[in-house]
Amino acid sequence: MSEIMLAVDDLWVEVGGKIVIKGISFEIPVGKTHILFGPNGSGKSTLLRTIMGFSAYKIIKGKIFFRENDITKLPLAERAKLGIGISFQEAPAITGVKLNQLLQILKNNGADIEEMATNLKMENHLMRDINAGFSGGEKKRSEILQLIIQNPNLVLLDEPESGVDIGNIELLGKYIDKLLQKEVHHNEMLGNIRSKSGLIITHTGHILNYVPADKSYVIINGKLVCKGNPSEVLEQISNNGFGHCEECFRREVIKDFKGICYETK
Amino acid sequence: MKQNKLNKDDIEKMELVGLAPDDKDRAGTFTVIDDEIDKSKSKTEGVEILGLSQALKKYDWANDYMWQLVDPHKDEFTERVWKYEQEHGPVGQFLRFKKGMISKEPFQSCFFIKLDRFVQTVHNIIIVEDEAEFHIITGCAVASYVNSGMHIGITEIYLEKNATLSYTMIHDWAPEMIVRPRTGIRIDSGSKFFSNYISLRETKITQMYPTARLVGEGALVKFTSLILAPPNSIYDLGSRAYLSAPNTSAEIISRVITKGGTAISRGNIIAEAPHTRGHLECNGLFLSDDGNIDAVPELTAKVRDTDLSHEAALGKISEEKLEYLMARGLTRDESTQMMIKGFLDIDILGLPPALEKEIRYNLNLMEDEAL
Repeated sequence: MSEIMLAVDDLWVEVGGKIVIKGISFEIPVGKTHILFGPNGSGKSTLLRTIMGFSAYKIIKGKIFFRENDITKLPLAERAKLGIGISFQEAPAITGVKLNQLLQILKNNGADIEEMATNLKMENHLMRDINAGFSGGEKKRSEILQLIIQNPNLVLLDEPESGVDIGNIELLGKYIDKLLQKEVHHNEMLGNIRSKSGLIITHTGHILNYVPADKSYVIINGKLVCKGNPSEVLEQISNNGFGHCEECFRREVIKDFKGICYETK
Repeated sequence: MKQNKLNKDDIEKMELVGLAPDDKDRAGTFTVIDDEIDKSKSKTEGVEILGLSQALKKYDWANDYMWQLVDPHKDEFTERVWKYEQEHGPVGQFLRFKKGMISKEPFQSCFFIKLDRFVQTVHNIIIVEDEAEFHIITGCAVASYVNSGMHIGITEIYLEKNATLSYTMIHDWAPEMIVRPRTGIRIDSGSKFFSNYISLRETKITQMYPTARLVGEGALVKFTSLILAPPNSIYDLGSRAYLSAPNTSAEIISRVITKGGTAISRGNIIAEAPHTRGHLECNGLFLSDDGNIDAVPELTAKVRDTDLSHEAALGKISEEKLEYLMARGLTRDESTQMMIKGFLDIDILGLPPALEKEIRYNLNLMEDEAL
């Protein structure tokens, strides 16, 4: 059995007085990349941001394990230090802090900042304030650049390709692959050679054309209603929207309801 | 001779406010200790530096520049300097940047107080002749054992035509020091004046309202201040610009932090001529539950064809931004420090790289201590 990078166990999360995640469980093995699909407002970003540990997201039930350590109560910065990294969907501008200044602090591997910035077409942004006046695509590339320099083991990507034109999606895809060590020949018969895992939210699925993934989930209304092969699930969604998933959601709710009935009996 | 010689400790304090003791990379030096000129030296033919009393003796016309931009009877502080000058003659610098001369190396001056409870009254005349381009770094500080006293500085700055001057002031006072600079600037056509004020240390009260008069077509002024008000300190700072000629513009930018003290950020732009532009901007940050920040912008348009605006934002550091940095593995403290240092960003001063590097280094030292 393969080693587990992330395990989420019956997670319930409240944001601003509203329960957004309602009992989600799943695992990501070391070396694997999983995908989160779901309509707007279904709870995908909340799940990702809860795993990262942002303070607005209150875990009311359930646990999160990172490499078998219970991190449910661990603060944000300590999770980052343990090796969890996130790319923001809407990264805020950090006025007065230069991109290069942060990268110098994050430097956690042999990666050459200048070279990597050039690869991601961000070399002219190194001396600029982080995200200040960056275009949508520049922000996304800046996020991936920061993650490559930070070098986390679990990579959480929140819609890395939204608002990015096709040409630049390919570029982003290439460096997300690098982030997830996709260049390493991953032969499961040899055990875990690849040490990075990923959890990627994608709305359009475009990123899957460049980043191979192992498994996907669909979240509807705070519940995980579907697990399956990423391309099959994407095809299903592309053809039928999330209508079919909502049926699965109702099935999940009925299962829960029955559970409660049995318990009360 | 009243004053003691400078010791190592004093020199360190002077260095912190920008003084290079050996004049290295400087166009010249002028220093006053208590009420005596300690050093007056020019390193380039483009700069003439004299004690003000000496200049008044040397040049008949020097008197035409006295008390023209600051009214001696404006308040009790100007009155005090005026009276002192009647009895003892002025103490201060007469600094002349000669026509067409340009230097990247700044001229430095320093006003230092070694006597506790001393009242320092200085008067400076600065003339930037046509097409000259210079930088000034001025530091004001007190010896480490000085706790109280007063500093009143009268400064009259004249920019002739198509000249540029950047004037960077760093202050390092003490808990019971009263600081009342009085500054007037006259900017003639095509000239640019950049005023930068940095003060992060304790003071009883530091109050000033430098006033620029843009009297020639195309003149420009920019006032920038970076302030941190520690507990029990009051900073009451404003800048005023009269846009009195066509195509003149003024920008007043302040970044103010309170760590428990009071910071008042005033600004006043008066448009008196057409095709003028003015912008006021104040950002204020709270680092503690105590303290006050007041942003008091005033805009006056006396003509229709002008464009005046202001914006202000006061509050604490955005949690969203802090968590952005924390998600990269920086602790809350590290993220906060980084944001504060970014907030007091000297990039906005537009200094030459070498001077900027120096000031950044000093600012870092002061920030580390203040935070």
